[in-house]
Amino acid sequence: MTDPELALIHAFARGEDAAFVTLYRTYRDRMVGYCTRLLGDQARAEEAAQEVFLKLYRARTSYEERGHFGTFLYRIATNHCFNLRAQLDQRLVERKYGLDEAAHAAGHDPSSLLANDELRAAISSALSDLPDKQRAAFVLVHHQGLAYRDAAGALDVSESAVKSLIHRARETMMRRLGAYLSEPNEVEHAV
Amino acid sequence: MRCEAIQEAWLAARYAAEAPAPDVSEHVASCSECRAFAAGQTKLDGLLAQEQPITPGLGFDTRFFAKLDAERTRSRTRRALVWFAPLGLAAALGLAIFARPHEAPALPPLEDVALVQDLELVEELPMIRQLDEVEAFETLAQVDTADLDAVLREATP
Repeated sequence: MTDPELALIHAFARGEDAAFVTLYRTYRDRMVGYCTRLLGDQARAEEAAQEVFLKLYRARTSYEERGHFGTFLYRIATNHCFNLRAQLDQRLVERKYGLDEAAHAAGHDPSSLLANDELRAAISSALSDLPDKQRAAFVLVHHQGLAYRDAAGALDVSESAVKSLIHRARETMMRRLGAYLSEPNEVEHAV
Repeated sequence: MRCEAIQEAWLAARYAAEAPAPDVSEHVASCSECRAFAAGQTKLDGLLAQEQPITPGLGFDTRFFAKLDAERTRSRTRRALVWFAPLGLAAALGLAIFARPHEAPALPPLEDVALVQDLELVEELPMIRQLDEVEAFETLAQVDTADLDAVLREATP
């Protein structure tokens, strides 16, 4: 935990709501992005992100320092989204097929996808194909910028498990989005 | 199996913004499968980088702070209940002890109530009232008139 966050969480635990608002402002966008990528639906994700902050508010007196504050918050968000996802699984599956059709109907030109805001739909669809833990690990590390160790803390798994989850997630993503990728010919640069 | 471990290490180094370990780099350079994997993953990152960032929609903060206000109110109410509930309970007990309410009369059993109600209905019937009158007349008719005369004589001075 960084020092400013440590001070904020202590102030918040003492009942200083201003400290909570600062934490909220710091993590608001990250939580919305994380929940959106886990749930695949921004409106639902915004509700979920708000609920995560309310859970944090309720837990102010029971917070235990066991690592970064961000890891703690991501753990709340992960569990909340997994629960929501389990409840809404069938509806999300139906939505995913709708997105697949939209992405294919637009053709495979990345520029046209960008212009029509369909790249996000294609990526969201590919993310939806991933099992929950792979998706969460991938989003935490790739989109949220967490180190493997912190992602492991948020998911309550080992660091080597995160390595494996990321590898499998990225393999699946590459297969699912393969149509949007040009032929691999930059091996030297990649290595 | 070895390729999978190499690929995991290659990705970990990439996310840590570090150069892969020499043995990992050497393997990737010499293995066509891992070379293709590395190239594909680099392309994938290029595609993902084009995605627009996700930001909260309009009114997100307003909705959240309204929920937070409701949560604070609930929290205050709960705290107040924790403090005042024992006082309220004590007050209720005090009232029960020092200002006992008048004892309510014992109610008759339900069967009796039903019977009384039935009888009241029956009494409403005119025919039943007439039967009562007939019965009273018959009772008078059975009285011995000689006895009556004797009583009257004794009473008369």
